[in-house]
Amino acid sequence: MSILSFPRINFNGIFSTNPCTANNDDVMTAVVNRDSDTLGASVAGMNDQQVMTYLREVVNMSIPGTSNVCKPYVRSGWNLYGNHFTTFENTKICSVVTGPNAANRITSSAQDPLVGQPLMVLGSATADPTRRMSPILCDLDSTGLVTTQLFVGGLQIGSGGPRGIDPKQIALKVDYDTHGFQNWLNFQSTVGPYGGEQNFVGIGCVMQFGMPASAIPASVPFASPGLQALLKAARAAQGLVLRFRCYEVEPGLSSSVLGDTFANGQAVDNPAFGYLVGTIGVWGVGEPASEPAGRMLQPPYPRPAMSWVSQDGKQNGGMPPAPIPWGNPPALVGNAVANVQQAPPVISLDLAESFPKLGYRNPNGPPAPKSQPPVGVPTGFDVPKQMASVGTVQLSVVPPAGPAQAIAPVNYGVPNYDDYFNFGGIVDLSYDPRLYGAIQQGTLTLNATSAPNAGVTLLQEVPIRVVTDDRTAYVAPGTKDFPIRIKVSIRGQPTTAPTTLYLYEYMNVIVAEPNTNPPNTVCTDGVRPNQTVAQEPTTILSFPKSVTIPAGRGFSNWYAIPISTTPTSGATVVACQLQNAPFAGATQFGVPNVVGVPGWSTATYSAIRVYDNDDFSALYAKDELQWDDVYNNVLRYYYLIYPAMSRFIPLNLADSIVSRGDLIKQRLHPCTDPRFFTTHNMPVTRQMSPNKVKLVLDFINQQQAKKKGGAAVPTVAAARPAAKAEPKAKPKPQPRLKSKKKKPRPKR
Amino acid sequence: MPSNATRWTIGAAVGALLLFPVAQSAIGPSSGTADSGEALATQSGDMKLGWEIPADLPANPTQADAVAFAWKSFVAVNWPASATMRGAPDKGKLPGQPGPTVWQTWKMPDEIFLQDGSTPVAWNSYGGVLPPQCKGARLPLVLVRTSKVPGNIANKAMQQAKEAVGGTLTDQHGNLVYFEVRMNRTIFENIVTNVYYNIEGQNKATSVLFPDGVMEAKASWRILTAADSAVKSRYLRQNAWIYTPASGNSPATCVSQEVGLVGLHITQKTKSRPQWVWATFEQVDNVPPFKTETPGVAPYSFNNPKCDSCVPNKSTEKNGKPTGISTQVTRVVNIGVAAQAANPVWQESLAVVLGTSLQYYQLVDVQWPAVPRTPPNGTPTPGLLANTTMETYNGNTSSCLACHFTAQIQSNKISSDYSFMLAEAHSIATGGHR
Repeated sequence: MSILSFPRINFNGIFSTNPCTANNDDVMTAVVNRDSDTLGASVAGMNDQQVMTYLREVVNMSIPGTSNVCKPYVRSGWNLYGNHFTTFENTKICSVVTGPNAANRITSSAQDPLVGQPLMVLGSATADPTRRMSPILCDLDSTGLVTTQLFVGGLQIGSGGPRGIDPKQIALKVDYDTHGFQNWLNFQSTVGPYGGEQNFVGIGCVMQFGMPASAIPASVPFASPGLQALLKAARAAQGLVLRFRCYEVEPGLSSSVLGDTFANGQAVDNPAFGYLVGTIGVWGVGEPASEPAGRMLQPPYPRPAMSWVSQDGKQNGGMPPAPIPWGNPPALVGNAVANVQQAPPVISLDLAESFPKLGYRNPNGPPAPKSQPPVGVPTGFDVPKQMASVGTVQLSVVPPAGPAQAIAPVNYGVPNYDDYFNFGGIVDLSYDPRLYGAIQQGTLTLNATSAPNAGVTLLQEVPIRVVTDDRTAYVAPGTKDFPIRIKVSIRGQPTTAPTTLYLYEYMNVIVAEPNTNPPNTVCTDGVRPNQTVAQEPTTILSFPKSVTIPAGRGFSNWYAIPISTTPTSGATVVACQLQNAPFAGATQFGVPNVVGVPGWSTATYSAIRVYDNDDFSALYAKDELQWDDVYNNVLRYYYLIYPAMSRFIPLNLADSIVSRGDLIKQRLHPCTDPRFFTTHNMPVTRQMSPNKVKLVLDFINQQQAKKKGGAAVPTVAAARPAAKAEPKAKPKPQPRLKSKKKKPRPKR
Repeated sequence: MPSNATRWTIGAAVGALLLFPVAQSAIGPSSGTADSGEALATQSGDMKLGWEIPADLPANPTQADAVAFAWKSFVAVNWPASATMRGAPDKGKLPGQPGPTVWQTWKMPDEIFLQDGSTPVAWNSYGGVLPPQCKGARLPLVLVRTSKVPGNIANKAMQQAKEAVGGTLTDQHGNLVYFEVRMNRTIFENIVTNVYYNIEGQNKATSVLFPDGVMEAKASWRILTAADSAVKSRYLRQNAWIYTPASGNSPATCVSQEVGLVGLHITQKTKSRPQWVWATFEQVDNVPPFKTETPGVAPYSFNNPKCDSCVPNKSTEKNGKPTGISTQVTRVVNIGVAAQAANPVWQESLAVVLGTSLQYYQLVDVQWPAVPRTPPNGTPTPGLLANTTMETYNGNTSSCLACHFTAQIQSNKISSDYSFMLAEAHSIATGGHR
C-alpha cells in the first residue's frame, strides 16, 4: 500500500505562506550571520530604529543574469513582517479514486459526499480548540536553497462550521504533530514569459508528511464510502500520508507596492499564494513519510534538450541539454514515482511535480491592489490553466534484455488541465499483465512520442532509490552519534546486494555578484546576490565517509548512519550518494565545487543545523542577569529580523518578557525538547541555540522569583545606545565563500 | 485595594457633570425628539451619526467598510447615556451634551471581578469599591490604573504590564496618563451567567466563547491643567479622582482632577468576526503627524517637537518608577490609508452638525480578521495597529489580534476569547487572596 494505491482522495486549492524574509540575504547580503542567530555586518553599529528603517528601505537592483533590468526591492525582501503561518485556502476534496477505471474516479458529491468538502492543514492542538495555531513554514537555513520545512499539527476535512470546531461539520480530523520537507524542486514548474520581479515564481516543490494510524479517530461517522475505505486501509497500514505540490507561489504585493506602503508609514505583511494540488492516501507499512514510496523516475543523464509548445502552437521554449545530474541547467520535466500493482495490473504514476504549467496567472507580477481588470477577463487564480505540451507521452519499460516495450500512454494534463489538477497529479495506467515480469525487472522510462520531443526520454528510473525522513535535523553542540535514517530499495523492492553510500558535506553559498554587463552602474544598487550550494570546505560534522548497507536491509526498517558534531557550528547539508565523488567538481562563477539545481532536485540529503555553543558565563557571573544583556545577546535579533513575533509578545521590552514569562516558558524550547517540533515552538524559525534559550528562560525565572519578593523588574533601557556588532560565538575556521552564481532560488 | 474600602455609587449624580456646550442650532431638528440621532444629517452615503452601535461589518468588507464601522461605533458609544439605564443611549440627547457617554456607563472591571470573588451586582447598579483615600469621592470616575491592566490583579502574567507594555506614559506636563477599562452589558451578563467573575468559576470552564455583541472600551486620560485652558475644548473631558497608591514613605492619595480623553480602544465581537473588530481613536493633538516635516499647529500632549535629544518612544521610568520626565512619543506606523480618507469627513460632520469635542478625535485604524476562518487569528488586517497612548513602546510591532489571541483566563489554563479582562478575577475560596 502507498499513497499511490487505492483508495486515495485528491484535493486542490490555493497554497498560502507568509514567511519572514528579512534574513534571506537575497537582496542585501550580511544582514544576518546565517550560521548563528546574530545580526550581520550590514547593520552593525546601527541602533534598533536604524535597523528597522534600513530593512524597510527600497533599493534599485537587477537580478543576476538580467543586468540592465532594474527594479525596486525592499532590503528585507518581499515580506519583512511575515509570521511564517502557512495555510491551505479555498482547498477542497475534488476527487475520490478507488480504482483504475473511470467508474472509480469520483468527482461528484452526489456519488461521494466527501467531494467538495474543505481541507485544512492544522497547527498544533491545544487544550482549547479555538486557539489552534497555524502550520509553520520555515527554513532550517534561512539563507539556504534546499532546507524548507512545513510544521503541521494535523489535518481536517470539513469546514467545522463558523468556528471550525463543530464536530457535526467535520468529516475527519487528525491531530498529529509532524513536519514535511521541500522535495524535488522543479525550476520549470511554470514556463512562459514572466515580467514580475521575483525570481522564484516559476519554481514548485512537493511536500509530504505522514500521520500514524494511532492518530486516526476510532470513530469517523461521516458517510463517505471513499473516506471510510481509505481509513480502513490506513488503520491496517502505517496510517495516512498527505502529499501536496505548491507551485507558482508569488507574493500578493509587488516590491514596488510594498516599498511604497512602507514609505507611507504602513507595516503590512505580504503572504505569497500559489496553486496547490495534492493527495491523501495510505501510508504503507515500512514506507517513508516524507516521499511517496515506489519506483523513482528522474531526468536521464546526460540529459537531452527538451522543448515545450503551447497547445495552440503559438508559444514554445525549452531547456538545453545537461551532461551531469548535479550541473545546471535545471530540467524541464521533474521527478516522478511509480507504484506497480500486479492485481489489478495498474501502474499509478505520481506526476504531481513533473510537467510544466504554461503561462503565469500574473504574467507581469502581482497586480496593483486597486487595479481594475477588464470586465469579463479572468485574472489571477481565475485565469484558465493549461499544461505546456511536451508532445504525447508514454510509459515504457526497458527490460534487462531486449528492446523497450510500451506500457501505456500517459495523460499528463494535455489538453485538459483538470485531468492533472483534479486527480492529485496521479495517473493510473492499466497494463498488459504479460508485461509484469518485464516491468518488475526492467527500467521504467517516460518517453515523448511526438513533437516537440519525439523520441526523447523525459524521465528514466533510478533503480536504486535512497530516501531519508531526516531531511532536516537540529543538533545541540557536542552531540555524538545522532542518526540519519536511510531507506534503500531497488525497483521498489528490497535490495539484493550490498549498497554502498558515500557521504559528502555541502553548504549554502551566498553569491555577491558584481554587475558585469555594461554599463556597470545601470542599477543604482547593483545586482541582487544569490545563492547556490557548493561542497563544504570546512567540517561541521563528523561521519563515516561511506556506509555499506547489507542486502535487504533498510527497506522495511530504517538504516541509521551515525553523525556527530565537531567544535564548529553552522548549517550544513549531508548528501548520501551512490557515487564516490562529490557532486560538484566544477567551478561556476568563481565558486568551486558548485552543485547545480538538478543535483538538489534528485539527491538524498539531510540539512543539519549545529547550534552555537554560546558562552554566556560572563553574564551569569553578575549578581543577576541583566535585561540589556539578554536583549542584546538574544532577543534583539528576533525583534529586528522577525518583527511579527513581537506582535504576540514584544521582545524589546523587559516587562513584556517577564509578564508573559509563563507563556514564553510554554513555547520556548531547545531542540532536545519534543515540543520544539510543534507549531507552538518559539521562535518559529528555530534558530535560537540551546544556551540562548536557557539565558532567556533563566532571566524570566530570576525576575519572576524576584517579583515574588517584591523587588522591581528592570524596564527597557531608557536610551539604548547604538548597538555594538552582534557577538559571534566563535569564528569559523574558514570564511564562507562569497562569489558569483546565476541560478535563482526560492525564497520562502 | 484595601479590603475595608467603602462601596461606592454614582447613580444619577453623573448628570451633574458639566461637559461641553452643544451647538444644537447646527443640527436641524430639536433635541427634544425621542430619537435625535435618527434625525442627524447623513452627509455621505455610508455615514450616519447615530446612537445605534453597528452590529457587524458588511459582507465582503473593505478597509473602508471597517473604517465606517469604527466611526459609527465611536459616535454611538460616545452618545450621551441614559440617566436610568446603564449602557443605553439617551435618544433625546445629542453627542456633546452633558453627562457620561454610553461607554462610560458600562461596567468597570472592579465592579465585575470583586476582590472576594462574589457575584457582582446587577447591570444597572453600581458596584465596586473605593480606596479609603477616595472616601469623599462623589464623582463618577476614580482613575487608578497607570496601565491598561492594574498592578494588583491576581494573574501574574498581567502583573507587570504597565500601559500596554513598556512602562508608564508621562505627558508634556510631567503627569502620568491614566487608563480605564469598560465592558458592555453583553459581556457582563455572559460573565455572570458563566461565573467567570471568580477564579473557581473560570476553572470549571472548558472553553470561553463570548456571544456576538460583546464590547470593551479602553480609554487613556491625561490630566488637564491650567496650561491647557486654550485647548480644553478639544477634549472629551470629565472630572475624576486620581488615586495614587502608597509608595515608600509617600502615603496613598486620591485627588480630584479634570481629565481629557487622549485615547480610546473600541472592540466588538461580531457574528462575522469572532476574533473581534478592533478600532482605536486618538485625540488629534497627541503627537505630530507621521514623519511630518512641520510640527503642526497644536501643542502636543506627548511630543516636544523642539527636543532633539529626546529619545522617541522610550519609557522615562527609572528603576521601574515614573520620574516625571515627559515621554517623547512619535507615531511609528502611520494612520491607515482608509482612515486618513475618512477622518476629515467624519470630523467635519461632527464639527458642523454638533460642534462637540468629538471632532478632535481621529481613527488611527481598525484591525479586523479579514479571513476569520484562517488559523490562528483570522488574518489580522492591517497587520499592525497602535495607539500612541496605549501601545507607545511597541508601536512598531503592535497587533491587537495577535496580542489578544494570547489572552487566557486567570489560571492560564485556557484562552479567554481575546479578552484579557478575565485575568482580573479573584478567588472566592481565599476571600480574594491568592
